[in-house]
Amino acid sequence: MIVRLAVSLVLGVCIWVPVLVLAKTKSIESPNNPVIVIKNHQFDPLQLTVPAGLKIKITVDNQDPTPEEFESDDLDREQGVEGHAQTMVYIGPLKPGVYKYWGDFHPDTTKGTIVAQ
Amino acid sequence: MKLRTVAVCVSAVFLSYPALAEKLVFEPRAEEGRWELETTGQYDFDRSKTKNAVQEYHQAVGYGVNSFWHTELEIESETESTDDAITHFRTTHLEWENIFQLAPQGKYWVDPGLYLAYEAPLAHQEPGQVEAKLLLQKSIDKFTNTLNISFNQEVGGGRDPHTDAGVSWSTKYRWRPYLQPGFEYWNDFSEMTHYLTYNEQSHQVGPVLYGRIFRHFNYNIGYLFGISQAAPRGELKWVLEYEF
Repeated sequence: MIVRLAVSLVLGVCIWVPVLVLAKTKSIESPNNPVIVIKNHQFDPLQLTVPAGLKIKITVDNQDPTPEEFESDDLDREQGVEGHAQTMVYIGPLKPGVYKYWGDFHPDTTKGTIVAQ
Repeated sequence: MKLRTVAVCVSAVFLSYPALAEKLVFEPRAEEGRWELETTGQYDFDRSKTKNAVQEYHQAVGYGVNSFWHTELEIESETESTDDAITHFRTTHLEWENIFQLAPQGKYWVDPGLYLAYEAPLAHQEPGQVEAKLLLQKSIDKFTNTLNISFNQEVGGGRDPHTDAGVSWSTKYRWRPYLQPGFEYWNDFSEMTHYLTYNEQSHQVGPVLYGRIFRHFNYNIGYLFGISQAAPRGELKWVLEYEF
């Protein structure tokens, strides 16, 4: 039965991997990868402007010693980053507009916006 | 015809049992360093004595070990029934759940994840259960869609040798953080190797409200309507989670 379970899982993966690969080739990624720095529990820049209609890979560089979490209801993202570490956050393609995000561990000071245009 | 009706009713009683898996559509997400306390429950409504007031509750503590692995320990309690009545309520299983986030959110067209769990029975003569789920999530504008494809296999003494399969789907509209209306669909195909008719399988669908309140509390509450004979006529389900 464990074998049957394993076979089912493998089949499931076989179905979805081509979908994922195909999907990756379809979305157009922005050539620029912006960086958001976290320092003293604040984002820098406070407002990041990105092109609308493209997938964006953002590097979040946490220069504080404490962990933080990039969180946004507008973007539907939750991404943790350890102290003195970096992480990647993928967003978009976005419609033109303003999208709020914050650091979930210090939400009173760690706030920012992304403007897609 | 009578024989067929009886067969459907009998199978409905048995098939409704595996449908009582935790009513939570899992997201392929792991948050490093995040603790959570979670309580989930479900309460069934039906005209049949054996399907009415069927209940199941889960109490869990979870932790995000790293950016791709969330682990959780859980205690499961549920009602027990015989062929004609619900007899008593007891704590039945200790469960170890693991969610693996297979890619960063948004990197691919769908966000993939894997769920692996082992349910250890608290009574020695009962079998345990291994559960695997493929977790897929896709956000389109303000709609978040999540699909779970599940496989269950009993292990240990007295086990049922058949592997069960099921599908659950959730769509929510991210209107405001504190209120996100949506719906869920739950299906239990039951045994993978034995074809059951639609009415012998459990199918449920209904509205669900999701949200986050007071910053740390996530909730979802919904009512699922049974749309096949094997499913209860109605089911109230809820989840309350405290994250810190």
